Amino acid sequence: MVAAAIKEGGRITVDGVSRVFEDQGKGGQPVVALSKVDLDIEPGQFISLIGPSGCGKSTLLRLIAGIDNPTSGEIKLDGELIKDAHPSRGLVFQDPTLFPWKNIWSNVATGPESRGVLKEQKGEIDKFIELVGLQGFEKAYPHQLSGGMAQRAALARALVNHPKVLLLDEPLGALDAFTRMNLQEEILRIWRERGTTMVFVTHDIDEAVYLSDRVVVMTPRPAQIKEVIKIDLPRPRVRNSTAFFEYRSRILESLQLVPEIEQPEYIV
Amino acid sequence: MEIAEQIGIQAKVKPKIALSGVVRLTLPVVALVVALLSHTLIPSVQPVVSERAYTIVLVALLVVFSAWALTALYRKSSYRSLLYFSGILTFIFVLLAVWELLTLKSGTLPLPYFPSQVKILDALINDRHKLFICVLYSLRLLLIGYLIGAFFGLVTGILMGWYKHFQYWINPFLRFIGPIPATAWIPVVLIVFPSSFTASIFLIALGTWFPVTVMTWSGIAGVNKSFFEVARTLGANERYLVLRVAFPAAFPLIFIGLFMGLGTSFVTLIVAEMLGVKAGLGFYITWAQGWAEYYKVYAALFIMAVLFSTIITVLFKIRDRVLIWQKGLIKW
Ligand SMILES: Nc1ncnc2c1ncn2[C@@H]1O[C@H](COP(=O)(O)OP(=O)(O)O)[C@@H](O)[C@H]1O
Ligand SMILES: [Mg+2]
Repeated sequence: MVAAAIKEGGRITVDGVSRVFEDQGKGGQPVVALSKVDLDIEPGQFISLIGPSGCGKSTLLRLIAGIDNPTSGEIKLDGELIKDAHPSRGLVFQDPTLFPWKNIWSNVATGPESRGVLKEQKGEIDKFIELVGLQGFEKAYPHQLSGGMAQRAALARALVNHPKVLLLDEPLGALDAFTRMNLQEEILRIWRERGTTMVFVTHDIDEAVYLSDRVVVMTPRPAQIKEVIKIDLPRPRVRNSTAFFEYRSRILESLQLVPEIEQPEYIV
Repeated sequence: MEIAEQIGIQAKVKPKIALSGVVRLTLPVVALVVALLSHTLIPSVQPVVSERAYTIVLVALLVVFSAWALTALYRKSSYRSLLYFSGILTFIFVLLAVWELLTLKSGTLPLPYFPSQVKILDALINDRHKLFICVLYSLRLLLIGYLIGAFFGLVTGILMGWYKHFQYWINPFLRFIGPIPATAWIPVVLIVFPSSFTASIFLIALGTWFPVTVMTWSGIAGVNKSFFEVARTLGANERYLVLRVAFPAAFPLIFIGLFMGLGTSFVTLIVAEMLGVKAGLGFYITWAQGWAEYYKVYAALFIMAVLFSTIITVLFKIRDRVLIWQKGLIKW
């Protein structure tokens, strides 16, 4: 899989990036969504961003995607400054945001279509629909799909552009536990096969430990990176192993979700 | 529960259709027979050129509905549809019979304002050539005016929804001038334009332009921003974002604008024809009214009803095609 990683994955360098939102209505103070964030993501790595709600995870992802620009600092993909959105950085939201007026095939085909290369890439579209297991649903419209299927279609739509980086903003957050685990496997499989660099935002610690090479823990206000935890577990990972639990408590600690004073073990 | 169902099923096997069902199936036919009998047997007290056409229409209807009732006995779909429509159809046929009794057969309602349908049908047939020409003139004016208005409405609306600058410069005019009914401009427009034809085109276009612009604008401005963000990460350029993302996303609202515009264009068309143009259905109505030939007025109204409701049906059919992806559409 290393070979694939070299082929597809891209390196992301986040260098002193801040993002300040001015003008929050009447007399509002500017919101510092990100403050001097440095982060280096190696090609083909699976990175999770975790942190309390409102700490700037989505903001960071949008900056990497290029649909928003940093107030200061710069982000590079393979040494090249990110200025605007580009199909080399695919984006998947929690809400699949499929275009409701297009059927699944046309939704997946949006990238090639908008770049005027649909004719050459017709086969690709079928291939990626199959990759996410949606064959037979090409003619269905988004409102006819379940949440999990819609998210698969959104994945295929991003992947069909052969992105070097796939940015996923809580993509499984709205799904039930079973569909969620299913799609976790699917995402891992796609990652292994394609070697795409993955940046995965989640608020589920188990999910982060299960999927990632490194977990980036973020702090609220000032919104910064608190710690990067390397997950040194062999794959496929076992969710109920001791090592898994250790990583889990480390992240919990890092998020300060564990009381600092030791609790007595037994209360009589 | 189960036993009741079984009994129900067994009861259905023997007499296939319940008695009340049979009555409802034959009601339209009965009403038609009554209408036909009163039409042919009761002597008329008002003058008509020919009563035969109406007799033929009634007989034709009678044949159709008898056939429908008969097929309903062994075809489930015809049975269901006839059962569903029988109430309203019977009501309409009875209404026709009553109207004829009040007019042609007794003269209870005063002429010339309330002619019988026999007389109206007479006008439709005798004046068909003239009416046909009028329909063509009206359609030409309507289509040209509407298409121009809708086109500029779409363009203005898209520009306003997409570019803040455009919105800034156009909005005051749209708000201030837009609400004026297009027909109120008639005195000005008739002077400014070289012919009543171009003047009418302009008025119809103006009346269509306003609602189409407003709905397109608000439709485009209200599109979920995430659609644009996703499309941009997929490689879409601005042209694609406007035409292939914003436009289809806004289409449900744009359609409402097109529909409202169509309504205004009907009004403008008829008023324009009544005031300036020397052809068309609106002109025909004023002309017939001038001669106090109200049965011709009704004939033109009838044609207008058929024409306009057909046009609206066509618009909705197009909408159903385009908005196949939407659930819970407004019905027409
Ligand atoms: N477009 C915006 N305008 C103003 N403030 C914003 C905007 N986007 C995000 N913010 C603010 O930035 C902070 C971080 O938001 P976000 O990145 O969405 O957090 P997270 O995804 O971690 O929950 C929040 O306080 C949010 O209110
Ligand atoms: Mg978020």
